[in-house]
Amino acid sequence: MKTKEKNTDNLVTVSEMALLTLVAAKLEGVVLFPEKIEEAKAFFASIETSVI
Amino acid sequence: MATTNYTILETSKTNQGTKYIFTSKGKTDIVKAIQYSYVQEYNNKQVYNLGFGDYNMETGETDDIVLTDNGDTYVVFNTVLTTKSMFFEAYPNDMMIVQGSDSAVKFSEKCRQTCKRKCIDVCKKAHRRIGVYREYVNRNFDELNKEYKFYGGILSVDNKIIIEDYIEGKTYQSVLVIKNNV
Repeated sequence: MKTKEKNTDNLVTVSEMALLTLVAAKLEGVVLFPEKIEEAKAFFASIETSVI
Repeated sequence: MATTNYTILETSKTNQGTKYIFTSKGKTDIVKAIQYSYVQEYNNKQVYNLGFGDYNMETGETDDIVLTDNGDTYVVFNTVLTTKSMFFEAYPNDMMIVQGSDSAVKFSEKCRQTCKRKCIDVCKKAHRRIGVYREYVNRNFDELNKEYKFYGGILSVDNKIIIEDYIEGKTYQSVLVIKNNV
């Protein structure tokens, strides 16, 4: 089995919160689950009876 | 004492919704993203859908279908549930809807491609996520009822939806939640 080598010279260690902050910045303005929104819209469009 | 939920990073709130991010620390570290996304108005309430999935650091994509089996399911789910109160703090007059990502037709189709169970009619792995959510509601119903009002969504045989007051132990395909006294 071949082992894949990775050059770690350019890697830095960040704290968990710094990582999450970075991810949050990358996800800013992004709709993560557009299909779920469409499914929810279809749900409301199909309501026959509701107590709400 | 074992961890019951992970530290959450809350992102800024907009009228399109909000996100919460945390790291699952099981067999490996996996970044999880939760998003409450604006859906539409229903009976004078703005409705937000609760979505949740794994964030892939290499591709930048978020997947709500993948089953990671990271050995910390309870802690992850508990963490997701703690965002409910954070959501209602930010959107006290609004409504949230929960539908399991494994309740969609595409989940069963994708599952059948790799699953060893070879289910014929009904995918046995489907509806697990909404099932876990219902279990949580059922287990804590009396306590949760003090602060929230729950409704259950049922898909009838003619593909119409019936929304009723939530009944403990009953099977629902969707759960809707509002905050009491608003």
